[in-house]
Amino acid sequence: MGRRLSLGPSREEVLNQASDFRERFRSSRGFSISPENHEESSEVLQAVCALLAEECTSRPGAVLEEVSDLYANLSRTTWTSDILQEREGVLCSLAFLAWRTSRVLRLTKTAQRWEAEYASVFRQTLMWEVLESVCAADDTLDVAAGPNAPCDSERIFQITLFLQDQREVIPERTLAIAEAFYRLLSESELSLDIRPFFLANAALLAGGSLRQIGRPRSVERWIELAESHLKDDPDPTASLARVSFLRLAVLHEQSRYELVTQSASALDQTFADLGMEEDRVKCRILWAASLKILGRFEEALDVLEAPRAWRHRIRSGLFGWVLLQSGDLHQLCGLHSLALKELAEAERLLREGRQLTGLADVHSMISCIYRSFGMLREALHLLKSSCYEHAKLGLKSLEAHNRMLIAETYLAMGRPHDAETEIRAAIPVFEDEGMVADAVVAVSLLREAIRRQKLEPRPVVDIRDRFRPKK
Amino acid sequence: MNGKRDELGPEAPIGRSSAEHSSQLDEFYRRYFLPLVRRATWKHRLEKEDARDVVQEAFVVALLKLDPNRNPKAWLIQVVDHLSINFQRKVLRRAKLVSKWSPTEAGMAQEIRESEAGSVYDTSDSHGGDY
Repeated sequence: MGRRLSLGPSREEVLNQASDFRERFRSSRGFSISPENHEESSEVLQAVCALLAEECTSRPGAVLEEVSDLYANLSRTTWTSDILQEREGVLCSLAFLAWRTSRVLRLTKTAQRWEAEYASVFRQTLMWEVLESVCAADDTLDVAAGPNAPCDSERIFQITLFLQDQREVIPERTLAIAEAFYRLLSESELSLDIRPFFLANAALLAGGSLRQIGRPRSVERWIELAESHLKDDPDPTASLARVSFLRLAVLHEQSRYELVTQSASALDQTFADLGMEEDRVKCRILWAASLKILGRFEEALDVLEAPRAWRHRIRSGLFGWVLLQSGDLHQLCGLHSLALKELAEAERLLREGRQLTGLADVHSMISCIYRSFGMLREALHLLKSSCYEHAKLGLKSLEAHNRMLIAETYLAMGRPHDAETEIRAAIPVFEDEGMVADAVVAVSLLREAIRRQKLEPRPVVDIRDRFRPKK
Repeated sequence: MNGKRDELGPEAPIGRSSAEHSSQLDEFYRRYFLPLVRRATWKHRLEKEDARDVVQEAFVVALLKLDPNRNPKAWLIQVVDHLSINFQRKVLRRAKLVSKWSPTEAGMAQEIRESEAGSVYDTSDSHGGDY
C-alpha cells in the first residue's frame, strides 16, 4: 500500500498564517526566511499575494506600500533547492500587484518601473519557457483567457509581455496569436482597472506585428481600437505613448522620414519622463533609422549616442539593435572596420536574444560593406541569405528591399536580366502597401535593367542560340 | 533513461533499495510535488485536495507523454496550469448546471435568464488531455 503524504496545512489555515504574517510584517517591516527551509514561508507568501490581490483596487495605496516592502525584503533572500522557482514566482506576483496598484493610483512612472522589474524577473523564469510552448500551440491561449476561463490577470500580463518580445522573433506567428488574444480578451470578464489596458495592448501587439511584417496599411485599424480602449483606462499615458510610437513606425515604413524625425524628439522626451527606458531605446533606433535614410548620418549617430551609453542597463537583444544601426551608419560613413566590428557584435547579441528579424538585417548590412569593397559575389550571397531569412519570417517589405539590393548588385555584375526578375518580384509588395518612394526607386531600377538588356543582349540568350540544335 | 527525464534530478525515485527509495521519494515529493500543489492552490485557487489530484494527474501525463525536447520542469508547470484551469472550468460549469436545475427560486430565476440568453450547457472540453 502506498503512503499518504502530507499536504501541509489547509488553505484556510495558510490564509490565517498569511494574515498573521502581514500583521507582524507591518510592525517590523522585515522578515527572515531560512534558505534551506523556505517551503512553509513560500506557501505563506503565496497566500499573502492572494490576500493582497483581493485588496488592490479597494485600498491601492496601502497595498502598493506593502508589496514594495515585501518585494525589497524577498529580493534580498536566496532559497536553495528552489527547483520550481517559487521565489521568482512570488517576486513576480508582488511586482504585478505593485504595477496594478500604481496604475489605479495613476502613478504612471512607478507603474513603468514595476513593469520593467516584472519583465526582468519573468524573462529568467520557467514561466517564460512555458509561454513559448503555449504560443507554439495557440489553442492553449484559450485556456488562459478564453470564455469561461477563470481570469488570471497576472497570466494575461505575462502573455502581453511575452508577445511584445516575440514580435522580433516570430512576427508572423505573433500577429496570429495577438489577433486571437484580442478576441479572447474581448470575451473575458476582467476587472475594469486592467481590462482596457490589456485590450489596448493586445491591439497594439497586432498592429505592431503587422507593421513588422510589412503591412503598414492594415495597422491603422488596430491603432484606432487601441485608442478607443484607452479612453476607459484609468492610467492610459504610457500606452498612449506606445500608440504614438507605432504611428511613427508606420510613417517610417511609408517613407515619411521627415515627419518621423520631426516628432521623434518629443516622443523620446515623453518616454524619458515616464521612465520607459526600453521604449526610449526603440524610439531612438527608429529616429536614427529615419535620419540615416535622409542621409543625415552624423545626427543619426548622435541620436544613438545615449542608448550606446546604456549598454549595461538594457537587455542584450535590444542593445544588438542599437549596434546594428550604429554599424550600418559607420559603414555609410566609410568607417568599414568599425562598422564590421559593430555588426559582428550586433549579430552575437541578436542571436543571443533570439532577435531573428535583426539577424536577417545584419547580413544585408554586411553585404553593403562587401559591395563597397567590390566583393560582389560575397555581397550577393549574403543578400540572398538575408532575403531568404526575411521571407521565412514573413517580413514582406524587408524581403522586397533585399530584392532591390540584389537587383542593384546584379546590375553591377552585368546581369541585367536577373536584376529585372528581382525588381519585378519586389514591385507588387510596394504597390500593395502604398510604399510610393520605394516603388519609384524600383521603377527607375527596372528601367535601367531593361535599358542595359537592350544595349547588351542577354548572354544567356546568346548561349541558348549557340547550343540550339540546327535543323 | 531519457536524457531530459534525467533532468528531473537524481532525486527521481527509480531503481533504488527500499530505504533509499523511501528517502528519495520524500525528497522528490518535497522538491517537485509540493511546490506544484502550492502552485495549483495559490495560482489557481484550488483546494489542497483538488490541487493534489491535479498534480498527480500531471505526473501520470508526464510518465506517458513527457516531451523529451523540452525542459521537464517547465513542461510539468504547463501541464499543472492546464489541468488546474480545466478543473476550475468544470467546477464553474457544474455550478451553473446546479443553479439552473436545482428546484430553488434562485435556480428558476437563473433558468429563465439562461433560456433567454441561450443554453449554458457546454459539452465541449477541447482542452482536456490534449498532451
